[in-house]
Amino acid sequence: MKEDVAILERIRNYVRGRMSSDEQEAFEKLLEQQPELQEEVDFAREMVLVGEEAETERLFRLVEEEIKKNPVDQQGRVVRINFRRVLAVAAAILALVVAGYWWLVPKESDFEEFLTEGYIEPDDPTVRGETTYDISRPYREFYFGNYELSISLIDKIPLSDSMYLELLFLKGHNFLQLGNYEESIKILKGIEGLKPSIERYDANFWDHVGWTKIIAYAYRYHNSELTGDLELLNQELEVFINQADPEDIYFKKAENLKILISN
Amino acid sequence: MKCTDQNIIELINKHQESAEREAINCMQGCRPQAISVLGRQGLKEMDERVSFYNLSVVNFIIKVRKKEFQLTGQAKICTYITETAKRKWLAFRKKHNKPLPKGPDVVDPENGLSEEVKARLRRALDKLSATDRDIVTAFYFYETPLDEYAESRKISYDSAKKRLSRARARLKEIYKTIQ
Repeated sequence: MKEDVAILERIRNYVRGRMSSDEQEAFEKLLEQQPELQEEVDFAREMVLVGEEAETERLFRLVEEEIKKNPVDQQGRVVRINFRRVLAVAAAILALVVAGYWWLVPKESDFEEFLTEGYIEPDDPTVRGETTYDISRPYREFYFGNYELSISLIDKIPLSDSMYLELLFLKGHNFLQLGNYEESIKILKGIEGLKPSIERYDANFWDHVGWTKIIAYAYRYHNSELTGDLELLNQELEVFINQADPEDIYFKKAENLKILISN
Repeated sequence: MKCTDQNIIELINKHQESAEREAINCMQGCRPQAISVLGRQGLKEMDERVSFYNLSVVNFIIKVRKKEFQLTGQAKICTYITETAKRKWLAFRKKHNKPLPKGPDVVDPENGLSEEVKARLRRALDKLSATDRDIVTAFYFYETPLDEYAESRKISYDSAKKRLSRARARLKEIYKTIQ
C-alpha cells in the first residue's frame, strides 16, 4: 500500500478513539470498501499499545540513570538506594500497567487529573523578600512536605503578626495536603469571613482563597462520593463563579470544574 | 540554563536525550519534597518512594509532550510531580492485595493482543535506530502531527514523511524476523 500520511493519521485516530461517531461510521464504511486497510489498523493498534510501554520504560531508565549520579536527600546527605529494589518495584508497577490491569494501578480519572493540575500552592513570601526567618520556616516546611511541622510552626506565630492571614492561608493548604479537608475548609471559610474588614489584600488573594476552598470541597467529594458532598461542591462553585473575576485563572478553572462534574 | 519551570518544559519539548537528561536533573529538586510526602503517606521504604517519584517524573514528561500539561502562572512542576507520586502510591496501596496476573501468554480482554505479540513488537522496536524509533513513537504514541515533528527536528515535511515510511517498513521487516 502506498504510504499516505493522511490515511495513516486517520487510522491512528480511529484506533485511539479520537473520532466522532460520524467520522467513525465513515471510516468503518471505508474499511468495508478497502479491506486491505485492516492490516494497517491492526498494526496501528499494536503500535499504540506497545509504544506507550516502550516510551514509559525508556524514560524510566533515563530518570534512574540520572538519579544514580545524584542520590541525595533533602538535607544534602547521600542516600544509599538499592537500585535493584527500585527496579524490582518499578518493574512490578510497570508490569501491572502494561498488562492492562488498570484496576491494580488505575489511571488517573479526568477528575483526579483536574485536581492535581488545578491545585495552586500558596505564594512563597521569601521570594518577595519581605519576611523574617520565623515566617519563612513554615513555608519551607510546607514545600518540603512536612505539613504537620509547618502547622505547628504557624501556631507559634502571634496573631498580631502582619502576615498572619497569609500564614492562616498556608495552614489551610497544609491541612489540604494532609487530607484533612474538613479542617482546611473551616480555616479557608474563616479567612473569607474576614474579607469585609480587611482592605490590604487584592482580589487575586481572595480568589486564591476561594479556589483553594473549592479544591478542598472537590477532594472531599472525590474521597466520599456522597451526593451531599457533590451538592455542596456545586453550591460553592456557583457562588465562586458569580463572584470571581472572569479574567483570572481561577474563574476559568472553576468553569472547567463545573463542566467536569456535570459530565 | 536555570531550572525554572518554563525552561524544564522547553527542554522536554526539544526531544533530544541530552535535553531530557537536563530536564530530569532540574526536576531532581522536586525529589526531597516528593519522597517526604510519600513517607508521610505511609510508604516507608526509601527505594519504593524513589520508584514512585521516578514514575511521576516519567508521567510528567509524557504529559508535557502530549500537550496535556499547562504551565499556569502559579502552578509549580514540583507540586504537580509530588501530587502525582502521592496519588499513584495511594491508588496502588488501595489495591495492593490483588494478586499479580500470571502466565506469559495472557490475552488482554481489552484489545485482544497477546503478551507474545506485544513482546515481539517491543523487541522489534528496541532494534530500530534511535531516529526510526523517535518518529514511530512520536507518530503513534505522542500523536505528533507530521508538520510539527518536522519543525521540531528541523527537517522538511517531505523528509519527515519519508522517515516515517522507512521506519514503519523497517519495523515490520524486523518484526517478521523475530521469533
